[in-house]
Amino acid sequence: MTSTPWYLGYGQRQALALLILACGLATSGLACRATPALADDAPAALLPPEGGLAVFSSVREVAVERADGLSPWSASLELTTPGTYHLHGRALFDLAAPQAVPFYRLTKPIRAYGRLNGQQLPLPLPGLWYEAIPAIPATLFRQGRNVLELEWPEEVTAAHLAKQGRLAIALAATLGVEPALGIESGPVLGQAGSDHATLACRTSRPALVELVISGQRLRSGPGHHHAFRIGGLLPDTVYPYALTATDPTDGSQVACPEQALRTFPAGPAAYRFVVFGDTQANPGPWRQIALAALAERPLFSVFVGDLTDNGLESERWNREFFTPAAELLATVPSYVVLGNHEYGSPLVPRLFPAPDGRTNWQQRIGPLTLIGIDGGARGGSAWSEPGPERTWLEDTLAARGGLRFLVTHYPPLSSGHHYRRSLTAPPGDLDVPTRVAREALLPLLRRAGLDAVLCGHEHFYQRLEPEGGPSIIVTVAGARMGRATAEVPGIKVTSERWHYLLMEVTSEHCVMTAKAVDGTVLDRREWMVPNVTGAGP
Amino acid sequence: MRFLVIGDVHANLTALGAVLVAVAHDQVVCVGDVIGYGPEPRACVDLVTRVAQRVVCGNHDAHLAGSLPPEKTWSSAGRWDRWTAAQLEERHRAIIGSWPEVAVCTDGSRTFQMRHNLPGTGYATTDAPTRLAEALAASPADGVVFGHSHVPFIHRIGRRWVANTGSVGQPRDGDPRAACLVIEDGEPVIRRVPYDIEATVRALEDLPLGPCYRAAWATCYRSGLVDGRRLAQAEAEDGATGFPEPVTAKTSRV
Repeated sequence: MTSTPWYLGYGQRQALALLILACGLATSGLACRATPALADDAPAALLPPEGGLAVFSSVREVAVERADGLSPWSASLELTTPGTYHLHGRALFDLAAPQAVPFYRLTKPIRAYGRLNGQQLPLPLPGLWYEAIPAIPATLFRQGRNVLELEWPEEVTAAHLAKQGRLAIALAATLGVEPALGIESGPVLGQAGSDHATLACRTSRPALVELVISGQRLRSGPGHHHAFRIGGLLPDTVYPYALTATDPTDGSQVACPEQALRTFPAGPAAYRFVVFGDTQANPGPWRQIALAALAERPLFSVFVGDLTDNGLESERWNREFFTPAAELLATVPSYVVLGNHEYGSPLVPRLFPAPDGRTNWQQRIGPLTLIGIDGGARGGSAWSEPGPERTWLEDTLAARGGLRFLVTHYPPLSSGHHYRRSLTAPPGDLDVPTRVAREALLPLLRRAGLDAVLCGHEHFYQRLEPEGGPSIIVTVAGARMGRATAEVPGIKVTSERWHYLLMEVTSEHCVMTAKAVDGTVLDRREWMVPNVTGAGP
Repeated sequence: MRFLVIGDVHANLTALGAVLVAVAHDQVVCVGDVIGYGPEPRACVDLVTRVAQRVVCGNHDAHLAGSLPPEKTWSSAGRWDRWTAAQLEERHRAIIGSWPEVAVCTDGSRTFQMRHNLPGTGYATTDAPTRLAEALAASPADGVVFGHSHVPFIHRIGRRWVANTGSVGQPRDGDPRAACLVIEDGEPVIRRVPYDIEATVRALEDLPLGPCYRAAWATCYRSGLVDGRRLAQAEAEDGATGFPEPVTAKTSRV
């Protein structure tokens, strides 16, 4: 076996550089033949999207350990100047019988775009980044020569280079066979009521999914993402359900273990729910918190955002959020609002069915009305400027009766660093929504007599009771612990421990208990129901 | 006619896929042991069922289908088989149960006998020349193909031949690349195909293996050699953290 030469070129013009990788493989997948070195007349397909053409004069060869058939491709390039590099990789490889398998999977740098034989590689959900692009149909491959192109930006800062004066950027890409069909995420229960429930999941390859519940057989697909609305259910009833995915191309199936959901009670019945703050990138603590909260037998869960460290990266969702809390998510309906770390991820509406399918939602459950908003919508301006979101919120708040809690990621007040930064945040800054929450939302909430704001973002527990209300509860459920440093009036309790909020609702009051995983009570607060109407969900 | 003969996949999907797409073929024949001692049995049974025109039953397949008695429960093989069984659905068991012990393929003028084990030797692993000659003498076919030993070779007697495909998913001849056999115009050729061994090693991480046992298997994949003594030692080092059932330092039957 001979090693395959890879040719790498790089250079910079206006902080733009190019890396070209070329790999040639013999038909057998064993012997490799060299691809001619790139020259000034290199094919246009190899050129970066803009500028940087002079790099071809600095092409150089880099050795690669292995580059055969479906074995990994790898090469590295040393960068010595700070800047944003647009890196290009190109692999040429031959497959003798590409249709022998139904699907392929390409593992690559997570932010790389991929093109195969001139076609964009299909993504299960456009807008998400995939470290491994799953279920690439075999029909996109050719018998014989195939061309795979990768492109991604890589920022090299001076700090990166300071330690050793250079930075090696490695490209490693692997084309493999798609593993067996799996239910990759979920099932996740979403918005529910006394006569209905919603459920979502995603599969590792396009599949038909069948949900069997209460004598109903509901079907979805074929596709990666599946959502169901189950109607005709009885109040306060436990329904076992079964979920089965089938690959229509080969009939292979996978089923998830039987689970059960419970519909909401009709009318003014007592219930419990739990609230989770930022979970982000600590699956260990998050799992402990999720299990402890599940043991409270809540009717539903509320998430105040930042469920993962980067909502645009597909693989993080399972690793950081879904897998650690699988039991909770499959049996307890989740209500979610977006945080800044979701980055508006398109996966959220697909896997968390919200009331009316909206990003901003409200639902009355017994004596309590929950109002969930994306506090960072349009950089926060959705709430500070006239528009449909603000009008909707004003209209929603105008309907009084019972307790009303706002669920948002950004705390109107807190003593954390986001609050401090928001005091001077320039337009477009991460902490502008925090300022909007304080300057635009808080007066609105006070005028409407809202009872409490459930929020996160600061990564600690804090309860504030500002003059004029409402109560502000800052919560965290696993994200790296923050510190309370700013001076803000109205702070009642602060704790730097991961926890969940247990909310016990009756027709007369709602009692909140902030509980650490070991059961330690961090805080307790009671709101009386001002107007007992007992409207059903 | 070009036959691609694969065998001893041992639930190594990465290797199986690499072989299927890298080797040109008209028909695929599998000589058994699709499952057992490997991380992705379900996908391998599905893929083999999809691509292979003929599949014969290996000993690991037969244990699962019930046509051979189960391995002893305390043994590595027994515990692997139980884990494997738990990954499969009833339809997989039905498919595996339908695989015959012997298959005969023809390209028109020549016939080839396909089976998992060397005829007349049960499931013992022996490639002794006398056994090979006996096997050929006992068969009317132009060529006899088998697997089981995970060591590929071609033994010619006159114009006829006996060949071992080697192992797709678990080579044991010191070459970690996947092995298979191509029969083109009646002539057998051993082919080796590199694959992403580290992907297979990563797939082991999802299995309930103890850390020492898992590391020992990773060494097997990377080296192309299976050291049964080292595997048994690794199991003992893991103690009860190996496969789900407690391990009582028995000799591995790998």
